[in-house]
Amino acid sequence: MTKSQNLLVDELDIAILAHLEEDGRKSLSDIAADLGVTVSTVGNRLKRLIDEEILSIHGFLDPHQVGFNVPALILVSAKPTEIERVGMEIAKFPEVLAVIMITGDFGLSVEVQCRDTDHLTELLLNRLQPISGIRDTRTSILLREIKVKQPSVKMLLSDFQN
Amino acid sequence: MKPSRKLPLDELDLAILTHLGENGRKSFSDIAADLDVTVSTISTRANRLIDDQVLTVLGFLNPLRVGITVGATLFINCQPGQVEAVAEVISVFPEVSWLALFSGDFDLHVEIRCRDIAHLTELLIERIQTISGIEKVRFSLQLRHLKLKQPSVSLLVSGETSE
Repeated sequence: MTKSQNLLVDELDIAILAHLEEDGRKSLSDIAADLGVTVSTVGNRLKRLIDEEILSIHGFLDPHQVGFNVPALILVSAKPTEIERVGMEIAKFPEVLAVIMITGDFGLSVEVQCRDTDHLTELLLNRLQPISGIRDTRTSILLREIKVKQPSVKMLLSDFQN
Repeated sequence: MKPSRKLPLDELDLAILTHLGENGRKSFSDIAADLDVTVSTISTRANRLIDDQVLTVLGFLNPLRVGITVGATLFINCQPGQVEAVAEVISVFPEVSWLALFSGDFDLHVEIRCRDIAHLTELLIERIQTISGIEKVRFSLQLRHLKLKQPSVSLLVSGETSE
């Protein structure tokens, strides 16, 4: 097994993380059997990874299956001194999954999930665009997600080849 | 406004989705106690949601805690007809955490995570800008995440548009 170049996680931690990246509810005994260690070792390691906020385990919805049919990305430009405040106001809307401050032509990247185009239109016209400080918005519709994954834990190994 | 649904999910399903969205390893008995139903009901419902791929439970590494410190967003325009071929190449890079096809100003939206700027530079110059079929790559560095969460399933229950 190759060495981790990181002080916070060792090779066993990375192997456990790799299992949970594939299936977050995989049983401790299955992971232990696969890695050739005891169940309590895996349990202790997992507890530490979660307690130290290195790992979190979440359920992710398939938006289309539950009825969010219009996902979109809204790029927002605002007065430079107002970007963070505008971003925090946008973050309050329940349709908003992510608000990220970015460099470039637009200072904010906003991901939303709406039930349908009426819902998106209502969000844009009635609630988002009226926020003071916003200069411009540009909306793109998400057609298909091709990859949704976290950065690979393999990048933490010292012999990681790009 | 009526919520549109492809699957007949009821309020119990949505409550389970909310619990497992927050903590993907929460025990079925804890969820059952909280929702005041039997453990076997929760287990049947939850396993059906997982089998139907409505819900996927995944472990998420906190990149900042382990030294993957640089986040960036790429907006890529492709030559006509090339977008799927370009996406296929980009999707295999381990640095890519999100890749989606869009209609609008750009064809592909790519989120990447790198250890540092040198790693980012290598990815951009050596591996992304050399892909044939790409017309233009715009790049933004991610400065700060103000919000990162799931869509609120409450929007599906009531048809409400604000909290």
